[in-house]
Amino acid sequence: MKRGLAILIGLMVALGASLGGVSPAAASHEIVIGLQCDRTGATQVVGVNWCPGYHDYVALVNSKGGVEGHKIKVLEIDHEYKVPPAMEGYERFKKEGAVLIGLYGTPHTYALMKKLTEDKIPGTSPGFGSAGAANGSKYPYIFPIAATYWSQAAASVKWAKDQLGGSLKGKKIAYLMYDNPAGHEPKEIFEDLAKLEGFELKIFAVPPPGVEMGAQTLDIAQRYRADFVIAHLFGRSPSVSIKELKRVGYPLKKVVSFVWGSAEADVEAAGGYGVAEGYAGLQFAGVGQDYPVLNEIREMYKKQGKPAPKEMTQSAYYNRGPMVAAVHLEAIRNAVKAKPDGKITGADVKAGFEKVKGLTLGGLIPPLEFSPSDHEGGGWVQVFQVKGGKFVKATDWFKAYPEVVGKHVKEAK
Amino acid sequence: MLDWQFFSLLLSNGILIGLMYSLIALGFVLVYKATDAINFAQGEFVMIAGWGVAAAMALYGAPLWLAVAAGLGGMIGFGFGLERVVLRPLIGRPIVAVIMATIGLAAVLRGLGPLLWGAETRSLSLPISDSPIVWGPLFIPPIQLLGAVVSLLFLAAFGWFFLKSRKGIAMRAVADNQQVAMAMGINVERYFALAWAMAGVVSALGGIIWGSLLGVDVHLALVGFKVFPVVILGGLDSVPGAILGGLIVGIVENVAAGYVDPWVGGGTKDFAPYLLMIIALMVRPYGIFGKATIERV
Repeated sequence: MKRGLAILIGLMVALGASLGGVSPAAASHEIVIGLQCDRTGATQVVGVNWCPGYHDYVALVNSKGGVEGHKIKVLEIDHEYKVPPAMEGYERFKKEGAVLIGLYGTPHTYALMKKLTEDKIPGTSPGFGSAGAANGSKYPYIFPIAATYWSQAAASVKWAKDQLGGSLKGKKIAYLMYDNPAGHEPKEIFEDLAKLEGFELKIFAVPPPGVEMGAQTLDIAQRYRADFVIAHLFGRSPSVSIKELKRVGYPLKKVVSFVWGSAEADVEAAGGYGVAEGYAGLQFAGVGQDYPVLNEIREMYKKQGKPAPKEMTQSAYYNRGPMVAAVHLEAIRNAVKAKPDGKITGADVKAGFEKVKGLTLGGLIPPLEFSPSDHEGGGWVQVFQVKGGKFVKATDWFKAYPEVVGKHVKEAK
Repeated sequence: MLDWQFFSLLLSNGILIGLMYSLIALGFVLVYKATDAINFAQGEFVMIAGWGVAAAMALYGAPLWLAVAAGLGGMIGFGFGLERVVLRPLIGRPIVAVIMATIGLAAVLRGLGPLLWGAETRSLSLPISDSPIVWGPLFIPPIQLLGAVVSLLFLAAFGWFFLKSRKGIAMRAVADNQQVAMAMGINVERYFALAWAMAGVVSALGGIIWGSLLGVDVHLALVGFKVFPVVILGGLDSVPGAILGGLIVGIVENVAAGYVDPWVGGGTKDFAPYLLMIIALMVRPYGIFGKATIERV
């Protein structure tokens, strides 16, 4: 009798345990994201740091049970900053059921814009082109989710104005740009602002891969004699620009870089902080390692008995990984809230993006807020400047000339 | 700034950069003079040497002098090893086989750098100032001045070696006709190895100087592309040709970038030397100082 009772109790416990397991986790549905990376190729300096940051944040969320009980699976392709592998990778992502694509690169975004819209899969293009995609009404499936090149152009002019005593009237600004679609994108904003603020603008194009720009920097410093330089370079070229401007005697405190030339890696490749004193750069995510979300990632590694990832020391690029991942997962969270079984589509995620509000990741990112018409989230940036051997925050989050940028976003073709 | 001052800036910059091209071109000439083969991996030699020196300092904490010594020694060993393992079995085969081997080698070296030392760009800082030396209207970057001086010293030394030393004359005899040189009792294999080792030394110096100028990663190999117009203009087998070709390419690309770029939107620096190369090939295919080969048919 006693034995029979024990068996009965055992069966009941087992049944209870199995019933208890019917929680969201048991009903979980794996949600797939496609991520483009460039761990090799012309701009690999970004990808080798950004992509680990992205994966670390997703692993952190998965370690806590996923998004509303659903695990996130990230598929990655390394496209070497080349469009054809990006296109092939996209088809694979689509086949594997990706509901969201983390794009990387302006030419790649241009190439995939039409497809993403046709397939109703949202793609994010943080900090690069197409700037016109900030207009959600015209580009429903592209989400810049961070300051576009138009907003960066406006912010860099504002920074230059502040550094030159509050007026740009009669000043000469050199725009040193990487000669590809990304470099050309902000030209129209500069031209408008040149008229508005009364400065002279001269464009200096650097052909890819941008490892030589001696003649351009010589011209900027000695013939044109620019009062300020706004640099929009990436990959190898930012570090070369720092060295070359220094070599022709141009003061680096009169240089501000767009977001892809303003990282620790660029300064280190240029020869270190001693060389780059005064060099300023725009950021759309915080720089440094002292943010709550990074502490959580370090703690996750510690629990696994592993050291913190070495990529964290390249904080300008690494920190953009958790930033982008957090925005992605917040959009998915919003989508899953509407469909708790987790069987969400790209269209659901698109709607999820448009509901993101007040996401700050403890100060790592600006207060992002998207809507069906605004896919950029405000166009916020911060400036960090090399001072005393490190990047120091020089401004709070700000956006500049919203009326000029807004006009272009409204008229985006 | 007056136009003549800007022109003199471009000219001085072009001369210094041109002499630095000459150093890389010398590696090319050394191999061609001794083996009659064109080394398409010359840029990758420079890249791997620079990468090794930068990695020795960054990853293994070596002081600069030790990293440089290791780089020079490593490239000499690499040159000897390469000759022994890859090129010696190709002696007597068509020249195209050696050329294809160097093309394959270039691809292997481009993969080897990131595999051994990581893909990130490394700085290779020499203990000299980054601020320019201001001399009248000229702004001379100290690294370019150092590069030009090192180039001139080595060009003079190798020029003397080929023209005056017994080994240099023997090396030229090997290049002229391997079979005849062998019949004369010259150890062809030894001179082949010496040529590749000398190319290794030049590549190490080029890697250190160009790496210091640009930073070190896979892109450093692009410097090797500038070698082609340099040696075609100067002559594939001529040390003075490497100097003159380097100067022409350095000056033309800088002056073109300074004056033509503003009209066409950029990029002249990249195509002007190749345009010059095509013209040279049409007018004087063996280069300014090159050996005009006459074949009886």
